[in-house]
Amino acid sequence: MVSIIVVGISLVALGSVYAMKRFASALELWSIYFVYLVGLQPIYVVITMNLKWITMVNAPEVAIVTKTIGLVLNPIVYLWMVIVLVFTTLRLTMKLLVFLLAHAIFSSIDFLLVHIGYLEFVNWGLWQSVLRHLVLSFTGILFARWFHNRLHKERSAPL
Amino acid sequence: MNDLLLLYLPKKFDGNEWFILISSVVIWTVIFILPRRLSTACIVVIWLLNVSLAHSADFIIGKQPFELYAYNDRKEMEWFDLWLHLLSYPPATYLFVYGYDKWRTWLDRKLWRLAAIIGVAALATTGLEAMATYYGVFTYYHWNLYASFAVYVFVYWINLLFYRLLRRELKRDTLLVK
Repeated sequence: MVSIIVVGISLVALGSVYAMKRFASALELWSIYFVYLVGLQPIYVVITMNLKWITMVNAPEVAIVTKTIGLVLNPIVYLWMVIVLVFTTLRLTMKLLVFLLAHAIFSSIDFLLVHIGYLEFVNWGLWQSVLRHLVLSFTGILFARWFHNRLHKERSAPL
Repeated sequence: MNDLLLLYLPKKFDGNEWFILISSVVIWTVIFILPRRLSTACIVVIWLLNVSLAHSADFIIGKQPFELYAYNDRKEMEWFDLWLHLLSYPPATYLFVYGYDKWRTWLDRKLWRLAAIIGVAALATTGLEAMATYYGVFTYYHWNLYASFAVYVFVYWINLLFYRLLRRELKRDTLLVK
């Protein structure tokens, strides 16, 4: 049941990607998405398997839920956050609000998975969760800015 | 708790580690010998795409509960897993994109040529994987080389799509760096 809900929400989130094309090119969106995949997955594996700070129930349902969140839901929330922060001209207070909202979503997802018993925090807590997402957020923001400027530079370079 | 590590060292430095090291040195030497052709943005996108694909595939079907195959010595992530994902997988697709960009006009003329080049590249990579399996980099539980070949066809096809996306976004006919 949980997997159906998560997959459903992820599909809706996936649909929202179309609206992002107003603000950034497809290549930029894909690249930022890949940065999050490259960042999210190894960190998650190191935390769960190597350090065992979070333990995960070994069941296909749990794997489907956590993988869907890791591959689709979390990266799309990150993408929206980066789009708003880097590619829009909203006021600083609005951007700050979006940043806080995104981080509230990330932490809520982590805690919801613990609440339903899919994950168990052994040596982990709210601040570690926030810190992990903060590091990833800033990495993505810096990459998005650099890549946007790089593409612009390469587009305008003589053929 | 004392023996938990951020990244583990191999249980034993043997065939799989040597294979990863030697194959990486060979492929990176080839890359550095070849004249630079692709732009920075292109290299970054190709690298990110292939590291993401490698991570995603290995973490979804290579780890529990599915665990269709295992790689290297441990179930936990080790230094050589990271090396494999970051430095061993992406260069092969970089060389594929490099070759495609170089002979693009000839390859694009006929669809079968394009299909053939993807097939040949996938076959070569499958051969490399067979060698890697022999040396213990991969251990198959519910996996085989036919499945790997199909995955590599998909990987090279995706790389081709991204190459075309790059060309479109950069508004260029080739990604050749002057």
